[in-house]
Amino acid sequence: MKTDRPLSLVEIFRIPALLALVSLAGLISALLGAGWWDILSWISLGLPVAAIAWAYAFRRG
Amino acid sequence: MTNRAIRIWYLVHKWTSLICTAFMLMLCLTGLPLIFHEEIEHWIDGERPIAALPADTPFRSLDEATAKAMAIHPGTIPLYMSFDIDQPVLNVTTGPNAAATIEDMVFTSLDRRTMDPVRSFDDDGVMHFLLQLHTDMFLGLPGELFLGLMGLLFVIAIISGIVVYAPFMRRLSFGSIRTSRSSRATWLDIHNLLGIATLMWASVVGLTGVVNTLSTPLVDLWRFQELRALVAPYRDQPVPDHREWTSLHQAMDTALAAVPGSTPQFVAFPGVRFSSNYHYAIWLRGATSATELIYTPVLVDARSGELSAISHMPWYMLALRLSQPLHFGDYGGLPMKILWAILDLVAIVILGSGLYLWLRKRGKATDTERFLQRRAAMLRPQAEVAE
Repeated sequence: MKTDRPLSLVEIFRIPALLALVSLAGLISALLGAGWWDILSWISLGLPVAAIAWAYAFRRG
Repeated sequence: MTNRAIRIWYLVHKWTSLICTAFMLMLCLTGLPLIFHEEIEHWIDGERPIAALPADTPFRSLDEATAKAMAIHPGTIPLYMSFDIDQPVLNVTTGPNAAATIEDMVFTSLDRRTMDPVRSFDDDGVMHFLLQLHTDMFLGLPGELFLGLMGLLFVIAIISGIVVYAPFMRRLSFGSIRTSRSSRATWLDIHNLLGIATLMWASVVGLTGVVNTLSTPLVDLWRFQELRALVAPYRDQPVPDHREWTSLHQAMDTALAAVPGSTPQFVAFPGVRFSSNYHYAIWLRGATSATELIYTPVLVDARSGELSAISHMPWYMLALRLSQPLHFGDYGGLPMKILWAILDLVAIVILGSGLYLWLRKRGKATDTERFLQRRAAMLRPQAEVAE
């Protein structure tokens, strides 16, 4: 989607930075333990994949 | 950022990517089945049958295991012993001498309760072939270090990719995929989206891959730093022959008593890479999930059976140790492996689309160049005013 004004660096990197931090948390959490720690890591590592799927489904045009 | 800076970052992204892409594609393709190597090997070979015995059947002596392995493979001496986690099975690696290469080593798996041989891990199968290709392209240490260098270029490509992402996304909201313009614009948007969304996973897998390629030099460094002081008192003593070695079983008991709450991970016999010439190096693993990744090497004098030292893993050995699960994705069950595979496929699309974008624009003014020209034209009057 074209924006109506140039975006600032903060705006450009807001979502990517969030995805990166959540991915990192997911990579670490499964190292710390099993059970809930594993589930947390699946959700966290699934988030970037979900973001890609969301963009592919809704942001084309 | 100035146009010049953007241009330099763009060139860094282009060249680091171009150099490593072919190797990264090979690594992603061979890595994909390797993520599921346990499942695939299990599927090819089936469940390893072991005797059904009461749960409290005691384990036999470790000394019986080494004797059995040497009896099965006459003319060899024990080099390593490792312990399976999911089955009461230990594996003895033997070879003609302590300096034996992998080709000369033989592997004997034994049921710890009966000392009956059980089926060993298959070392010649297709998964082994893929692993060799993935690790060093059959070129040994130079191949390994070369792939490490390619991994480093990959990480630089990611960093420079993040930098050049910004100017492209000035007027596009996150996740936009323009399909109404050229197919090049579509693929550029896909490349940017996939790259920026998976950058952390790709960086971690890339960097830990690089660290794994440094395994040989790091272990040598550890040997040099940690073992040098330990073996100093032994300087003038002859290296003990394997017939002079004391009971491994008692040495293991000594080590386990010295580190409460640990379980055996593996034993390096005197003279091999992970030990000194005079010690059993008994590597113990913590028993809780927070400590199971941390190994404690305990050195027991192979002649006297006395405890010589409880060593520790220096930071680089710990980094090497942590780099394995973080690279393999095998520490969070099957869902994590599936996510690893999906992210690996995403990486393949990023590499492929990057290559496509480069091929499509050779000889033509690039998007970046057009973008920079526009931006320069926009900035010029302002710059003049500023002067």
